Amino acid sequence: MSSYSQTSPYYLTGVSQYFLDVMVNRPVPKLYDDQYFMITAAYQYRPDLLAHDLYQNSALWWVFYQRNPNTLTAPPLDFATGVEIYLPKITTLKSTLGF
Amino acid sequence: MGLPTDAQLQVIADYNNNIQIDQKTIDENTAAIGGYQKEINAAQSTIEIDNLNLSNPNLDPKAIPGIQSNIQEAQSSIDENQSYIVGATTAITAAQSNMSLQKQGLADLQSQFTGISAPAAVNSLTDPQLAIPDNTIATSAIQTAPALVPKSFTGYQTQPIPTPTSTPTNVASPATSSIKSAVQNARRQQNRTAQWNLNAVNSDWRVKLSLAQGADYLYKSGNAGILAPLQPTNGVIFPYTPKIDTAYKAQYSPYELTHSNYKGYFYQSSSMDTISISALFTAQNTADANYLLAVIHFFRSATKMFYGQDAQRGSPPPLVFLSGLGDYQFNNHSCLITQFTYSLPDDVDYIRAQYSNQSGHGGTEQSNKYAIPIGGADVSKMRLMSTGQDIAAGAMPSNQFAQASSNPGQGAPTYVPTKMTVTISLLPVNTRQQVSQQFSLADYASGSLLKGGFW
Repeated sequence: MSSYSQTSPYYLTGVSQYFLDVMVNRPVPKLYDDQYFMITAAYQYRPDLLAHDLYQNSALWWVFYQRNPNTLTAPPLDFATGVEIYLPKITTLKSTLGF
Repeated sequence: MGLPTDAQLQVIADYNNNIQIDQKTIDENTAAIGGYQKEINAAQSTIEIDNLNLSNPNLDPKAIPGIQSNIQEAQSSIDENQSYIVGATTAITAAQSNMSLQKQGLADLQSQFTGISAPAAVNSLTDPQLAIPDNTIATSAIQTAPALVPKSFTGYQTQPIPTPTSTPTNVASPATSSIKSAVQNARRQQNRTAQWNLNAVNSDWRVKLSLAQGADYLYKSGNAGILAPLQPTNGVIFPYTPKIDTAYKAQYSPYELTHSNYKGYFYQSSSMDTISISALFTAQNTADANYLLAVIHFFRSATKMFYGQDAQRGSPPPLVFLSGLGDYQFNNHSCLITQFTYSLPDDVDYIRAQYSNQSGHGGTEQSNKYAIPIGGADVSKMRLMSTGQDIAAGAMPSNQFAQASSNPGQGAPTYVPTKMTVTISLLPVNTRQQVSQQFSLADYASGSLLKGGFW
C-alpha cells in the first residue's frame, strides 16, 4: 500500500522501495442516475477544474476517466469541448474511494 | 477700541522687529550648532584613527608622542565645540521664549484693533489660531470689548507705552482668554457650516415610500417573507427619479349677479388632488429581482385592509410616508395608496427572483451584487452555471419531480421583468389634530411646516 491519499488513483497501488508497483485500478461504478455532461469550453483540457467545481477537490480529476473509459482515454487532451461524458456523484465517490 | 494711534502702530512695528530678530537668532544658532557638530564628528574620527595606530604593534615608538598629542588636541576640540553647542542652545531657548512673549503681546495688542488688518508679517508669525477670518474674530471680540483693553494701554496719554523689549508681562490675561473664546466660537461656526454642507451633499434624497416608524406589519413584521428585501432600505426606494404629479387646488363657487357683466366667487376650500407617481424599476441580478418583487407585492399589500386572521383585523390599509428630494419637497408626508398599477411588458427579458430566507436573498446566481467573487464556491457555481447545463455541485441529480429543478435556491422561482414601470396614486393625508392645532399659513409659507409633513 502506498502513501498516496485516498483521492489519488494510486492509493491502492503498492510501492516497492522507491518505485510504484503495477497499478491497481480504482474503478468508479456506473450508476443509472449519473449526470450527463457535455464538456464546454470552460473545462476544455481541464478535468481538474471540473473536479474542483463539482467536488471541491481538483485531485479527483481522474474519476472522469474511470467513469468514462470508452470516451476518455488520453488525459487531458481528450477532455475537449463537445465530448459527452457522465459525471460520477460525490456520494458515489465517497463510498467507493472512501474519503 | 478704534483706530490705533501712531505710537501704538510704532509699538506693533517694534514687536514685529523683535520677533524677526529672535527668529534670525534662532536660525543662526541652529546653523552654528550644525557646524559645531561637524567639527566634533571630525575630531572623534581623528581620535579613533589615532587609537588604532596606537594599538598597532609595528608602530614606531617615536611616533607615539605625536599621536597622543593629536588625540589630546582633538579631545580639546570636542570639548570646545560642545561648550559652543550648549551656548547656542541656550541662546535659541532664550530667543524662542522671548519670541513667544513678543507674539503674545502682539496678539493682545491686535485684539484692540481687530477692525484693522494686521501686517502680513504679523499674520505669518502669530499663532495659527489667529488665521480665522478677521471678521469672525472681530464680531466676537466686539461683544467682549470691555475686557479686552489691556492695562498697559489704559490711560495711554499719561502713562508711558511699554516698549516691546520689556517683556509684556503686564498684558492682561482676559484678553488672551477672549481671543481663545473668539477663536472657539469661530471654529464652532465653521464646524456647523461644514456639517450642514456635508449633510446637504451626503444625505440620501432619493424618493422613498415607507411605513410608519413604529409599524410592525408588512415588511416590518417578524415574518416579512418576500417583503424582506425592503427592510434594509426601510421601504421602497425608487432607484430612478420618479415622475411625481401633484396638484394644489383652491375651490371657489361662483355666484351670478343679476344684471352684471362679471361673476363673483365665494371661497369654499383648498385641497390637494391625488398624487401620482410613475416610476421605473429595473432588475439586473437576483438581488434586484428580489427587490422588484418585494416592491410589487408591497404596493399590492398596502392597498388591502387587515382582515380575518390578522391581529389588527378591521384596520384600514396602512398609511405610507413619502420622502425625498430634500426637506422642503417630501419630508415624511403621510399619504394613502389608492391605486397601484403595473404592467408586465412582453418586450423585455425576465429574470428569476427567488425567496429563500428572511433576508430576501435567495441562493440564485448572484445573491449579493456587491460581493466580489474572488474564489471558492461562488466561482465554481458560476462556472458550472455558465455551461448552461443542469449541473450542480457534487454532480448530484436534480429532483425529477420538481418542476423547477434548475433552481438552486429553495422553492419555485418567480420571474420579474428586467425593466418595468409602476404607477402609484397617493392620497395626501393630514390628521385633524395636525390641521387644527399645528397649521398656520405663516408657518406653512415659511416652510417650517413642510418638515412636519404638511401637504
